[in-house]
Amino acid sequence: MEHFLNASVGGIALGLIWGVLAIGVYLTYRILDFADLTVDSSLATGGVVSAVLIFNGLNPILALLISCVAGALAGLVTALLNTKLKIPAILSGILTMSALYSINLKIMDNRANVSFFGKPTINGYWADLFNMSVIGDKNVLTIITCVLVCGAVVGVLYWFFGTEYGCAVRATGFNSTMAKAQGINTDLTKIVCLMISNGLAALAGGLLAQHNQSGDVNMGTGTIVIGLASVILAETLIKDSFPFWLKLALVVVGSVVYRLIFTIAVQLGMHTNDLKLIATIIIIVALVVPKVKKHFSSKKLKGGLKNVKN
Amino acid sequence: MLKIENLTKMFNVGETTEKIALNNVCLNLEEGDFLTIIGGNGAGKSTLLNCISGVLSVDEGKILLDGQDITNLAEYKRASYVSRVFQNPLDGTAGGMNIEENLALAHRRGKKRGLGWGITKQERQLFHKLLSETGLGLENLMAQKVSTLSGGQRQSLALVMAVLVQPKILLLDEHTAALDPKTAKTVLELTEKFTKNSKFITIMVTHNMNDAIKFGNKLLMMNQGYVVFQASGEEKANLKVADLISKFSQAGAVLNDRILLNN
Repeated sequence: MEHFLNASVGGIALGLIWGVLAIGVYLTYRILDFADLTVDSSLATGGVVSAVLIFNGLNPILALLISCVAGALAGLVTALLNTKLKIPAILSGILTMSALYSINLKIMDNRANVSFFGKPTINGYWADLFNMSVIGDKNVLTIITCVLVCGAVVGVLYWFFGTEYGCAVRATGFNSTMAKAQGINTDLTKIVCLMISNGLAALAGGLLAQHNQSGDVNMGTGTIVIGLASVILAETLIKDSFPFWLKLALVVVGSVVYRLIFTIAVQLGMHTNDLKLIATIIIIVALVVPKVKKHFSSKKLKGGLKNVKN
Repeated sequence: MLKIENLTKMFNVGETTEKIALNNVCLNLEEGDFLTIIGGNGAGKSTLLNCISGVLSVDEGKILLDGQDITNLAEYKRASYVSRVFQNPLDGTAGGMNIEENLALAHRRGKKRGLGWGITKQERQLFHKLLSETGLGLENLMAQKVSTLSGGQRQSLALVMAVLVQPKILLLDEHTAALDPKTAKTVLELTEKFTKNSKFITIMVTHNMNDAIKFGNKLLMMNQGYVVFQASGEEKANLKVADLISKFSQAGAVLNDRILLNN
């Protein structure tokens, strides 16, 4: 039982880290309506940048911020490929993702990973404050870090998407024809949104590297699936009428739920090799459940008005 | 003043499907003019509007607005001067945002969008007042998602949004074609209300010859990319549907059922 609880705490810690990524995915996938695959590599970029910087003695918070900027630059590249060179969204993301793999290796001076055991991480601040052990209480410390980070991210995004420019970004996602007709430079709004999204992915990567005390070129593999799964799980909880900050918070919850499902599956004796298969099944179930629900509720409404999409 | 000089637009250049959509079109409109454009399918009506709004690039010719050459100005920049209502009611509004958010977006057309609030308290009051003047009852639905509105309501909202900030040119691209006759009438009445005594230029494309005669002070008939007939003032006011049909025949136009059945 104690083992199970410990595993769950670890699951929550990881879920919160990946929650930052999930928010980023939510912004592109749901707000901008842009299927961005860049995150698969920009998350790793964030991780390796943090790893290299901390290894070289930089302050861990500063390292996180620089990770974030590096991810934003990756988003900028994808956005430019799409808006200026007119390469389709998915392909733009794949191209950047692929190129970033080499760049991530270069950042680590052509090594596949960089460890920084013993160097200060952001968790160290709370460890000192609450007199805890950076190694023994790792998961709890990461939870504290990530609750603060997620709170800040949700708060800033809630503010931003309420501003004039934030509304312009949302309008671009809902209806770019209308956005252009209202004088919105939709190329720029796409660039901004992709930069924010990949900045968040890299922030998640930086947090993950600090949690693991190492950065790895492969740490982002499958990121987009995890991000989408979290968003889709969250959407089974989200109602249209919810305020934006609550939607974002629930995306983080979706990410935590996703991790806990894994934790439970492994605790129940599932082999870790089977996890990708489970992940896919979770996504399919989460995608189908709302449709089945809708099917039954519209049957109840026989002859009534059906919800019009868009 | 809108001055269009020798505007030419071709599609699929160099291919077997090459088509001249606009052929040397010239047009002069003064402040307050209301031009109706009529023509069959493929006449070039929508292409002309899309060239004016900047959706399409121009192959030859110039578009001058108050003496300023806007031929190559980006679509979003041109939006400062040119506002639009589309044929498809889904195009002119953002369905996922609520009515007041849509209006707030329109209220910033041609202005810089910064990090101030996307919608202010004063704006809410202003929008409420403006919507109640339209008599559509939308002022009580301000926080409702636009996707829940009917096509007619969405189109009316799009019209309000198009004139919320005074444009220099208002483009109406068959904005009632997708609506049922009763709703179309409401939207046309609203159009009349907004354009009456206005300082801006209105260009309305229509398939309905009665509407083309009834509305505005100028009329333009197009066929196969050419301007085949123009009328203004008294001559335009005295036009009959039969006159327009004979003009079409003279131009060698084959009128489709949609035009004929509409009249």
